[in-house]
Amino acid sequence: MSDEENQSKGSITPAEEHQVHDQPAVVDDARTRALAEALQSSFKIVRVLMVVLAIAFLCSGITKVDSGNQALQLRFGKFQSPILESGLHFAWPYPIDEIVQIPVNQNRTITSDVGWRTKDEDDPQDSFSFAPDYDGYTLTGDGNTLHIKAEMNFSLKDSETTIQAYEFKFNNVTNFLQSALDNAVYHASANRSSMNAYTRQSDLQNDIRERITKVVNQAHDLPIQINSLTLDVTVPIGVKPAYDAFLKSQQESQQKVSTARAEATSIIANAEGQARVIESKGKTTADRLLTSVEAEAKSFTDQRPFYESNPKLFQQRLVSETMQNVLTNAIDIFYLSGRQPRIWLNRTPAKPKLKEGQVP
Amino acid sequence: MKKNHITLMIGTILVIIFGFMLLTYQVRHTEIAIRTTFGNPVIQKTGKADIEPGFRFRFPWPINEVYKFDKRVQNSEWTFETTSTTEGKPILVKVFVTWQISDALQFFQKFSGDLSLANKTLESTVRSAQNSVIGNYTFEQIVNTDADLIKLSEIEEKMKAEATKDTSTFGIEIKMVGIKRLGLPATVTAAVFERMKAERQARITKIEAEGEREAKMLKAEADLRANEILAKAEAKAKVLRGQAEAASAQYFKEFEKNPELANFLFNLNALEGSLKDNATLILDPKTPPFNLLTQPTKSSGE
Repeated sequence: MSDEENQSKGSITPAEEHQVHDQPAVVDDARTRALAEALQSSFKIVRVLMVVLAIAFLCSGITKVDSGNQALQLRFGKFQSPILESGLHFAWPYPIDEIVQIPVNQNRTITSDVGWRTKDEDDPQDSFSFAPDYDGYTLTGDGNTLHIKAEMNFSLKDSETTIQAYEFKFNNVTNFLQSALDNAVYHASANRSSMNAYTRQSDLQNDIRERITKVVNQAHDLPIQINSLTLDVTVPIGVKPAYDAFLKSQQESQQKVSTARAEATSIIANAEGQARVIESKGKTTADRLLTSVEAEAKSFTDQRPFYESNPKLFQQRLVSETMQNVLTNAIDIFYLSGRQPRIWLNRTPAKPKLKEGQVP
Repeated sequence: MKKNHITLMIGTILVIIFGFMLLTYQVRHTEIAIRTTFGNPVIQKTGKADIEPGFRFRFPWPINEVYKFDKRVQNSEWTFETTSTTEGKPILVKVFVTWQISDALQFFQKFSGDLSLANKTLESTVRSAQNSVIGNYTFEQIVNTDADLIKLSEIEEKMKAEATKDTSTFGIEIKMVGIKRLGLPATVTAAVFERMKAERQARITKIEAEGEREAKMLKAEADLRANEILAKAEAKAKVLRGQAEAASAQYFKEFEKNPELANFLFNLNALEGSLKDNATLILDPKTPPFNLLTQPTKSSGE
């Protein structure tokens, strides 16, 4: 301790001495006050926190239903009608309210490849036989086998029943739809021949659609809208050449028949044409005959008086006239005169051949 | 005083929350529940123990206990299994079943609310139904191109009925039993491949013969038809000519007035007609008018 300190201790007043005796109590009081102040501050923080939490709790109930979505609201677990459309909505936070959003406009796809893919997820393989646990295939109505893959694209019909059923009715709606599509593929395949399924895929497609509607929409009250259904159909790889040869042969046969049909049509058309010509000719001949006879009769009537007045002269005149016509039209006339026959050549003399450079 | 208010409020809220947790429960839209009092199920006003979705009160444990179950449709499927048809043909069948809890109390009593246990029990039930039902049908009734003979839907309905009968006390409702896959043993598929090839070959022969036959028939029919058409046309032409000849007969009376002249005129016409074009004539010098060529010689001699 220094000298100054000792000096100051020795010069302490009674009041100050009393104050020094009361100092522990003052310190305690200060501590209490500090503690109270600290507690007060903490309470302030807690209060602010409570208010913030309360606001956050209330604000968490503001829900935005996205565009293209609809939402189902559950209050204390029970569905509240109607469905919430896209936009802002207020709902009490969980556990009072629960909002389940569903993209209603979304196109969903389910693929059935149980009749197509192998267990290793490969496309159909060429093999001597099908291993039941490995190869995917279907059975056809004629007891044959076929590979079919179906891809169904669907959307939900815009109704409360559909959306509610899709979201709440099934434990795993995708699995259910997958099973329903598999079922439809096997049903459709089982009632037609392998060749029919292979070549007439639109019929197969219609049957699958019908079955899906029956199982999903009717039996399970889930009204979905099938937008498209695409199929991949092929016969087992090992028998494909035989099927392709058959199709080729069928095509050739059809071609042969269609050529024959075209020929037949042509034959009939030709015959019809010829028939028209024959009929027309017959009609012309008939008309000509009638006209000719009529003309001859008229001519006969006109000439008869002249004939009857002088038959010989009349005959000679007509014979001469006829001979003139005949001789005019004849090309060659051989005139036999005594022992030396004379040949009367065509009345038109043949043109003499001109030599090169000669003027006719 | 103000501090006490806040504390009191927070405390009250906490007590309320805790109280709600102890004394209330909610059943979700996808669930069904039952409530027991000292282990005994509480029957509702509906006469069943099932509690529908919504907000409910209860006494705290151990007085009340609440058991909730998933009431949604479950989709179960099992392995690909060999079954024999009535004629003993082996066929591989895989089925799927859709089912849901229909009586929560029964389900709870049977499976203690365990869905996987229910699924396992259902598997053996459905398998048994599958074997007994398919065993009553022939292979041709499972797959057939004739819609009247195929009984696949009927088989599914019967499997469902059989399985429903066996699970009537399980508290579940089977909604559908469907075929998910059909197949044949590996050895059979090898034979099927061979048959498919042979079938196609036979069909090729048949279709070629049919094509040939049809083509020939078409041509033969066309020829026949063409001949018919031509024959009809010729007949019609003949008829027309005949009609014309008949019509021309009216003029014959005119010719009868002087048959000699008529014959003369007909002969002249015939002569002129037959020598009309490109004729070559060999004539005797006595033929008129060529006889004129010889007459002047005679007259000069005289």
